[in-house]
Amino acid sequence: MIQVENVWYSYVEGHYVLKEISFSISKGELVCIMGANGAGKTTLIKIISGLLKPTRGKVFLDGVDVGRIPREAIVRKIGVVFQNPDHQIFSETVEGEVSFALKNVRLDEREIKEKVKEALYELGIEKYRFTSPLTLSEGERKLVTLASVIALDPEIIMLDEPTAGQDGANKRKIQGIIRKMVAEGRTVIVVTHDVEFCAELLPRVMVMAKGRLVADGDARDILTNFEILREARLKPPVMVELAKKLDGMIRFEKKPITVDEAAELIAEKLGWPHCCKP
Amino acid sequence: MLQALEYKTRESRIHDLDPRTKICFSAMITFSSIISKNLTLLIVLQAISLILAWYAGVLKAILKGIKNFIYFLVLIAVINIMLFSLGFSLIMLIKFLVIISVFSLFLMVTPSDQILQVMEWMKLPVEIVIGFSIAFRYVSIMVREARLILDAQMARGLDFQKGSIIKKIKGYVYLLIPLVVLSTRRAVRIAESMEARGFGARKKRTQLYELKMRRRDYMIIALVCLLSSLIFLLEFSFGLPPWMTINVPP
Repeated sequence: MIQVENVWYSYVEGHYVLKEISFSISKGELVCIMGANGAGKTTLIKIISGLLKPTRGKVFLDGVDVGRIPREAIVRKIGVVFQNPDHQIFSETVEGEVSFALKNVRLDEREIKEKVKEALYELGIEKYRFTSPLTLSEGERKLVTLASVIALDPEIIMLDEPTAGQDGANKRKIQGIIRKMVAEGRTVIVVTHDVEFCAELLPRVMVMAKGRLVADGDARDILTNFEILREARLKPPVMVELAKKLDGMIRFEKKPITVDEAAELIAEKLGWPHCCKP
Repeated sequence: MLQALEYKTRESRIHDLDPRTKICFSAMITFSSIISKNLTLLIVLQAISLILAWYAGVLKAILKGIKNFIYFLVLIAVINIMLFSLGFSLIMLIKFLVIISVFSLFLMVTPSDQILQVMEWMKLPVEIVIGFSIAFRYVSIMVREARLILDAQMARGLDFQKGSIIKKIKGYVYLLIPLVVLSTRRAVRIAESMEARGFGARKKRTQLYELKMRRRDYMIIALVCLLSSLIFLLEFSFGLPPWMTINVPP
């Protein structure tokens, strides 16, 4: 369990980028942290993973202060995939890149080989095993960085803007991987401002604006709340906007946030209940 | 530390000077501090640069920059005390302070565009001038990227603090490779975008703002040349009168 207690953080003295942040995340939860650029989302995940020390407040991991947990133990427990894959890639081969963290936590050679193979297979990039990651496309490089974290098999995985620079197919692939990780009982925290991506996942949503946590709740409640989204400078999902435009013409019992949901509800209203079941 | 190298937008008479005047002033003060072995003269030079920094509204930023060099200054002091004497160490320390202050002051009051213009005025090849200017501008971005790379590698278990010196040096390879790759990619992108916007299409370049020396520029250049000549003469011919000399400990 992750517990964040009254965390404040400033890069420059007196100028806080995180203010009064408190929440807890249970094991196996899927959480999307949303907010505009500069809201403090990335800083927050750096604090949770112990890369930054909060100026005020504390972060606990299973009841232990993160500041007191050795780096190696944190790495085994929390995997972080940063936004720009080029900030970590250095190896000559994809295999070398994916095995980097495994070597740092001192696994034996046979185990490393096996885990690397599994991770590459899971992400569908096993054909690039001996290719230089620097020659891959941005989307593929992102998958390599994701593989390097999946190979570690951490309990908690944090993804910073996983859809940035990704095409539709890769977005779906990442969505599938996130669902699989949650089904396996891992805690997944996704930092994003891609509302459509978040709506498809139906997670718990935390919204940040100007360094503060302004909302925390169910995806449907948050993503249909125009006031919160406006405060966080986020655009509502297209289907939410469509439902709002149709308001008065069609009365929805529940507010649709994805294409499938909207299609199903509209079909039901039109009297074709079986036409659009996902 | 890099804040001490960044241009600070302000409205002041110092900012308003011609960049050639600022270069001349910085070069002469640096030259004077290098040739001077007299504590009094060095203190005067340091006082001049700090007063000008205050007048330009960047004194606080310069003092902050000097604070960042504190370990380096202590190192210089200790080495010189061990090798020479306390007095020599003090002189070296103030010499270094003068150079840092003048260099920071110059960069804080001179936008990189103006430095570029001066280099072009000096008839340096335009490719070198542009390269120099871009490299200079991207230093702070590279520092930011280096921090992000450090975070990404530390999140994967790399510890830059622990282990032997060899291990630490090896650790920095994991920082340098992504940094070089990112910089190369950026350089290619910048070159392409510059070419796409017509860079190099015409041999002769024109400037939006022309360099123009005014009366106060000539006055400052004359004053600083006079000061440097005086320091040169005091150092190598007449020497300082006893009442102006601060006795340094042996």
